[in-house]
Amino acid sequence: MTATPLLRVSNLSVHFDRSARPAVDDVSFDVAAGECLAIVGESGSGKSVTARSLLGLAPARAHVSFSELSLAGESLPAPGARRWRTIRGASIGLVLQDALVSLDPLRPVGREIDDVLRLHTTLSQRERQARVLELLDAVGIPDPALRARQRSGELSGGLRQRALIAAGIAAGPALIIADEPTTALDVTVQARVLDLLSSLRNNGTAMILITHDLAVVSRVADRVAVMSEGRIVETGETKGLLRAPATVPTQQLLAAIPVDVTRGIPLTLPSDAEAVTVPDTSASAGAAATATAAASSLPALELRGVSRRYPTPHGAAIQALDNVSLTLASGTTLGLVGQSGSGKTTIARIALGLETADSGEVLLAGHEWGSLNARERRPLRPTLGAIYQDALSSFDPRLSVERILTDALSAGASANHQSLTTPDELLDAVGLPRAVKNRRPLLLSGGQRQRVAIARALAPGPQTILCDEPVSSLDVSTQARVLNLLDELQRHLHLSYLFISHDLGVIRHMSDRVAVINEGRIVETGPTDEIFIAPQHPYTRSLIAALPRVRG
Amino acid sequence: MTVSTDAPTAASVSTPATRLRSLGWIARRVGGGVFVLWAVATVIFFALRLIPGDPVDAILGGPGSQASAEAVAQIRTDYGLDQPLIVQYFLAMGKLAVADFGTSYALKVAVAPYVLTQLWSTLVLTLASLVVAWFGALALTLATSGRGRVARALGSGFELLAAAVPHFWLASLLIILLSNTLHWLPPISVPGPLGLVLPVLTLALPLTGFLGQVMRESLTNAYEQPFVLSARARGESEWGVRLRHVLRHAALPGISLSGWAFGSLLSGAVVVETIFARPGLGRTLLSAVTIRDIPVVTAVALLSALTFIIVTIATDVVDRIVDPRVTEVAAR
Amino acid sequence: MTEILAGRLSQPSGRALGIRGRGGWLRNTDVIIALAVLALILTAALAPQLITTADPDAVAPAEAFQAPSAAHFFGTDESGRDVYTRVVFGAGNSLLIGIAATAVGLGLALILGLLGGLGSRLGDFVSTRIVEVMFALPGLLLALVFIAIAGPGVVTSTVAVGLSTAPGYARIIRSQLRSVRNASYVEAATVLGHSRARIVWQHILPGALSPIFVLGTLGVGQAIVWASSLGFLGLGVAPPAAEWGAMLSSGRTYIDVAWWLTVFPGLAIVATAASFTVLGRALNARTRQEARG
Repeated sequence: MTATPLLRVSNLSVHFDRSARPAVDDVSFDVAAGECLAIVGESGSGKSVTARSLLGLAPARAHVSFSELSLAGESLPAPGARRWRTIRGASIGLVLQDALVSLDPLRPVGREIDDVLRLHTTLSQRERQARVLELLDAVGIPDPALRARQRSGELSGGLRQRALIAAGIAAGPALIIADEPTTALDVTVQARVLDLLSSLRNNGTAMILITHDLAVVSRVADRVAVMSEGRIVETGETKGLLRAPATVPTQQLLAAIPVDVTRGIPLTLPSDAEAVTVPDTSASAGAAATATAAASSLPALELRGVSRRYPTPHGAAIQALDNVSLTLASGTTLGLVGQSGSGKTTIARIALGLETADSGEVLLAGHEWGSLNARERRPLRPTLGAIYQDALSSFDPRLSVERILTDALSAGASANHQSLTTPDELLDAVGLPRAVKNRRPLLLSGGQRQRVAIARALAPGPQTILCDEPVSSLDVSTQARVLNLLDELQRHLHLSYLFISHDLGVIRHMSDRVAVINEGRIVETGPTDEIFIAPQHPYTRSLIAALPRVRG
Repeated sequence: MTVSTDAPTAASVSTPATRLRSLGWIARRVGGGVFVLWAVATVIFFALRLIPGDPVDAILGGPGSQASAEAVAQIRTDYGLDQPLIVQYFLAMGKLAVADFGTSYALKVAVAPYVLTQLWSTLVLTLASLVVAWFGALALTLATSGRGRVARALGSGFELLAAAVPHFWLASLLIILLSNTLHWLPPISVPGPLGLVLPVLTLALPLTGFLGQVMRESLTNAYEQPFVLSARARGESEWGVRLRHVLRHAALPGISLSGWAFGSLLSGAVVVETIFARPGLGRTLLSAVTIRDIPVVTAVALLSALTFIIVTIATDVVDRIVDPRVTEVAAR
Repeated sequence: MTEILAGRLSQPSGRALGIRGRGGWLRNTDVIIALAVLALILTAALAPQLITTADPDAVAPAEAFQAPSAAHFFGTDESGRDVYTRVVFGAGNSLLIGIAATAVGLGLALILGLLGGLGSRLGDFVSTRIVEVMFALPGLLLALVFIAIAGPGVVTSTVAVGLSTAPGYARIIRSQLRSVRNASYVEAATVLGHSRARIVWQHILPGALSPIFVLGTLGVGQAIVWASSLGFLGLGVAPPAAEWGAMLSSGRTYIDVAWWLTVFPGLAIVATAASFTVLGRALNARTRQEARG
């Protein structure tokens, strides 16, 4: 590290008008030229506010204070100063998370990048146009001349993220701040964007990488600063810090990542272990044992040669599913993994009987299911539950938790178990205090909402639960607790899970067997360890190779 | 670095196929418009035959007229009222298809050319008002946005009141103020641009309020979008952000609402043309309604509907050009 | 015009204008003012004697065309009747017409909207076409064509106003039903095994139709404006009766000499319409806040 760091931040604090606790609390760090510092933390830890303060762009109503904020030895101006305009984009570039609206959806991508050049260089319009194409090419966007004329809505997520990076580096800033640059992307795309960011750093650009994902950190960052509740709790070299985390928040972040924690072992959470009180009667334990014996004979859910096509507005049709066969053995978990658009959702909807396959069979616990009409399906529905990615929108917004559960209990009950028959018992089973029943889901945290969703799914006493990306929108530590809960419920209630996720780590942790889906086809099925240790299909191999790992 | 395999999305390139799809969309819209015109004509035709009262009375100038039996019979033959209803219907539709609206009961002239002359005057009035309201709302929104509480409150207060003001009252107030007290402008519409000022102001002000409310909201929303943060992080100035980015987003609903706005102006034109004694479709319709001059009512209704449909389709076309997202939603 | 305002507001993504921040909705000054104005107008409508002691129809030719003064707050008209008293007594008529017209419009819209939002493909097709046809004649034009067919008068002009507001409401109700019908919580209820009828009754209808009250509140103000326009054009309430539109219509003749005949009834209309709008938006923001945050 050189004597004068590129960026020096000393005692940065940010307060919001109405909040007693500061959003950023006395934060100090340095970034050397060409170095990549990762700031990690869960949502609400203050990492994004920190990043924005470095550009003088803290949200309105925020009060920013610091003892030093300097770039290459020169003090950065006060918030709101005109001089910021010569620094933003020119000396410090910002790359936001990919969202349709991180680039102006009404303007061509090329114009957005051109803006940076127009503001910070003296190039002529023609030179700028040529430079825009060079930049798009440099970030790996094929056919730059075409893409420059398109608007952000016409690009895929990966291309949009690249275009955002191109705009960030256009004026050759010494420092780039990347705020969750790969969060919304599929793993393989994510890997390529991370490669791009690494290559920038190799060219001498310093970088601050804001993320919640330690796996991303381990791939790119030289040093890591862990933030929790507005404070930096730990800083260190990436390798050392990930190998031997010294503080509880870091340990939690690390431990909660399910990547390499295999089946059956609960994800360890150093603090607050939660007691889950499922009525563990000997009857249900006995039933579990006998059912396991019978498991091999009758699958909980089976898809045989299911195909589904959707017509598109252009007249052509999309083959969403092509001859898909899946078998979920009773009492086990089948993980279904694939990237967005691979057909996971269609499988979920067909399995739930919300849609009908064009061809093929669907069997639920041995009963014909796929070919039934809505009326014939109803008596079987209590045996099949579901939890969804967005728990909140799956609740009627007008109902309280208690009414949601009463409503679910009144839907009908399957024959096999009657142990959870009141809202209170259901809340106990998912580890929620009974007091939440008077609240509306809107006022609950993400983890609590997902627990309510699980309680609702348990209400009719199902044998099988379809979990559709159930933890994808949760913070890692919450995610770990929900996964542990699902695991425990499975053991106590002898449930079968069809577990759908794009997250290989979660899938590995939860599944007995894994099915990999790509472009509507199941490319590989097998026991979890075989798939992860010795993948056969090239697509599975590419997925696993792209998977960022924290350890090893 | 690996070569990107990110697939281009469906709407990426303007291929012949997408252009064909746009043509198909326009064709469907035009077909829908024709259907609507036919339905309007049919509903009016049958509704008029269902109500009690003899059209001959209206032709002769009201139920009180003491016409001879021969005269009544003559009129019945002249207007084709002696035919069976279904025959009358097809005859009427056939005539409408070639823009023959028949003869006015009251004015005893051919309806089509008469109403067409009125259309021009209404178009000048409404389109001028639309432009004034559009730019007025945009200027008001831009001027009062991001200026602090007082300016915003004044802006939205003005918009609220303007949107609640009835045209006929506003017209009277403007006459009292600008004509009777200050003597700047003539109280009735005289030919030429000066006579257009008061009617256009009257029509445009309430619409300015409506459009202003909508534009202000989308402007506020646009300010909260990440692309504004991106732009600022590039070193863009406040006015740069406003003019290059936010302005478009504020103007969008103004464009999409233009069809609706034109309709509300057509509706307001009835009142405004009456008050300022200005020729036009609205005033023609009102006087025809009062004396139940059915051919004129039918003609004005169809002509207004036609104009409204054309403007709506045009607005939607512009909307799709300006905002590519509209197409994606529509294709869902 | 209400349909545009309300349609925009009832979209889940839109941000409500009436309420800012987290404070209770009653804390906003604009809502307080609106409620005060509406309370005053309601009193005038239900018990006009509480606010004025004079007789709205008492003719006094000697006192014609008096400018506003302490004796006559709003002046007197061509027959020497007290304009203030007539404005107070006009509130009942105007309010009644506005509410009745809105009820007609919403009722018709409910039928069309339910047919389109819950009915079969054919039902949706038919209802959408009907709404399109009604939309082709915007606002007063539809009202006028209806009056041309049914003849002028208080009842027809009220129905005419209701009719011309119906297509806007119908569109909102239909899209509301459609979006709730496809909401994830309705699918979740299906997966639980509830019957279709129960889902419609317990989840779809309450969720989709709760905005109707808000729509109605927003709509009454606009209906009053339109009804008074028809009155002004001589197609609604006949002039001797005290109704704001009719008062303006007769005042127009004397606009050169007696501005107060025009200004005060008009102010009453604007105050009423604006207050209903403010209140409707506040209600809208509150229901949405409760439902979504």
